[in-house]
Amino acid sequence: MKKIIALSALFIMSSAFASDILGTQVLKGNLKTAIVVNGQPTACKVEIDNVKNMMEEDSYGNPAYKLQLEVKLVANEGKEGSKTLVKRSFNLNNLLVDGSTSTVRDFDYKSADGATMKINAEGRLVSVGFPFENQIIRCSF
Amino acid sequence: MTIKTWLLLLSCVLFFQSQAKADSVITTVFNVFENTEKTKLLVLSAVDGRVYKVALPTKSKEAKVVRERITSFLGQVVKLSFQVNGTEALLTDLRYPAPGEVDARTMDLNHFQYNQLRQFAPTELKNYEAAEKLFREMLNDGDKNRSQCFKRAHMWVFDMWSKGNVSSQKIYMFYTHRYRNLEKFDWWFHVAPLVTAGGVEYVMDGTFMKKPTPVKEWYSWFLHTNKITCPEITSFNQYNDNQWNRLCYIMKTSMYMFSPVDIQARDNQGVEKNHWELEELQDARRAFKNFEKSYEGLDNGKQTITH
Repeated sequence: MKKIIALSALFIMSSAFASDILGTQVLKGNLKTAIVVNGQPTACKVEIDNVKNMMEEDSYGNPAYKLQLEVKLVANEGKEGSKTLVKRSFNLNNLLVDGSTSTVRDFDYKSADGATMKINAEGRLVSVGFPFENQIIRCSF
Repeated sequence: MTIKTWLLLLSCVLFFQSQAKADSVITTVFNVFENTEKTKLLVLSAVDGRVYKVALPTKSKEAKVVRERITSFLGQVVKLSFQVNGTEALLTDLRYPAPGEVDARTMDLNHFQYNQLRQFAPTELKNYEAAEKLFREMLNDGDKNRSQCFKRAHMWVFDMWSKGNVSSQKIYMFYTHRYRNLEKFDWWFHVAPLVTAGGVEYVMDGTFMKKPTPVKEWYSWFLHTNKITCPEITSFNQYNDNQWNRLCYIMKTSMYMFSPVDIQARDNQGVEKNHWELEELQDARRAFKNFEKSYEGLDNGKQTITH
């Protein structure tokens, strides 16, 4: 019985806070990190631009953001130089739709074509993920 | 002169008399001005905000007598009799009320002064048609780039009150930093009169709307979408402290709040306002191109707060 009460309280609290967002704005700019793709050392370069209000809101009235993410993978081929594996743009937003309910997430972004992005409380990029050659590439910053 | 001619003359006199409607009001004389042509005295009545006019005699000695007599009632509770002739209210008699005619302690006779007993209550209009009629009567010079919204709104609500006996509210729309920064938007607020008609609230924005407009429809027009909600707030700090988790807020105030400065003063310093201020009305009047003559008595020729 105590467990049921505790769980119910947790549920009520989480619902109450579901409507409060910070509205953290993503910082525009570009970042680079080193990863390994198909066994090759690769530079993961990303650029965030066109951060705008999506002009849509979630089920609680919170407005969402949208932005453009450009990713570029440049493989280091040693003496042969470097090779661009992929250069691609994604349109992301932070409006998560789950059935009939939608929720704005302060720190989580996604695109319709499989890209994801996380930011921190200052709006700085933490990580991105995107599809490439039947795998999901993850770059952390 | 034949009987027919006399009858015709009599009919004309009766006809013109019927056009001039006579009435009286118990009020406080808030201010007395001369018009710019120096041909009339303008008496600003504090209970209804109307300007009552009396012609000054052409002879200076007689004009001085009239001027001194009228001015002697300044700040006093009076019975003011008048006739409405077209758009003008012509003062026909001014005297102290007879004993028992009014109890000045219980009547609210000066709306140009704060009265802690005065509870603002917006007028409920009967139906949408009544709101439409008010809307059509609102001054509009068609030049939205000339003036600031808060001055136009103030003149409109004052006109509704003084000419139409309608106490309206104002609705402020506040844009947040988030909206202004990302949309490259120059305003931080917009304001217009708000009335309730048939139980529905309508915004009376004579500059940007063509008719009384429901609240959501009004602010959605400015946002260029109906997918965003502007939550209603009751305190200025709710807007000030939440600039990133919303794009906009709306707030309803009484008709007396001239600008957001008044709202901040109320919320941060407890400065209550349930009265008109003449300088603000003078300033607001200047919002309308070529309407100076319509607002005789609200302009004493002195420089106002802003231009």
